[in-house]
Amino acid sequence: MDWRLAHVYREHTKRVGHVLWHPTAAGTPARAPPCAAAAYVAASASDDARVCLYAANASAAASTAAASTVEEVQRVGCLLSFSTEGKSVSQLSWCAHAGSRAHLATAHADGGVKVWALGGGGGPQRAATLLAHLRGHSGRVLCVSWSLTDPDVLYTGASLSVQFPPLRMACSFSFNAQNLLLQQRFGGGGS
Amino acid sequence: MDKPIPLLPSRGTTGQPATAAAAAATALDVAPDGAMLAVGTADGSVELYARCSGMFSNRAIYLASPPVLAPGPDDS
Repeated sequence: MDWRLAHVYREHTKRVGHVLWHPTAAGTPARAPPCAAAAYVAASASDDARVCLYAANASAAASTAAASTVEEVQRVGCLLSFSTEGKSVSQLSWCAHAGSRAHLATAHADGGVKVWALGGGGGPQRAATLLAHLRGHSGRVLCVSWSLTDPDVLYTGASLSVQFPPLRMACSFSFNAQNLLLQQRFGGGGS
Repeated sequence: MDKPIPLLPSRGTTGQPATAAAAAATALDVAPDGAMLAVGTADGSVELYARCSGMFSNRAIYLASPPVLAPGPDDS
């Protein structure tokens, strides 16, 4: 089995600690992030506190004619790059639930977990909006995983403890500026 | 033991090999259908690899097939 280098991106300035493909692959564009027209979308997290999104098309990248387009792809750049405005990002987790479209959770070294909505459209409309900043761990958050059964639940693990019951976010994804409510739910042990 | 997967650099339009970063790989993920591979490195670069052949078209068949287990000593 051969693999060919199709895309090289140098958006990060420090170590990349996690890369993660969007859970929907080719053939399911309806659930892909709205900012991505390509079939494959990956996200990367780095110690530079930035998250980057990349789009790719496997058939084009692997074909003989297009396998030589590394330089061309580099000119295009990544799909979206944004600062999480915190310390290094330890891990990422996509929301795979239908209807949520493009939500991404990031775990941070400063003990926080952030939930982002990745904006639709092209060009300058591409943006990441912070939906929630979850606090509760006293140590470095090392891992985050979106529940596969409940779109309102994130599981997180930190260097000092694993939080259980899990963080339960309020009211699906309409939780703008609801940090207080999230904190109460966290303190109450979830539901 | 299987051999490591060869990651072949593609050739640029000018005929020069596209050089993969020499930094250590620190993160890796495979696309759900197995057609794409993403590698993060210690120097901050991210490399996307595409599988050349259609070999993973067999993946669904492989996963759909129940594992064949050899009978144990207690099986009669």
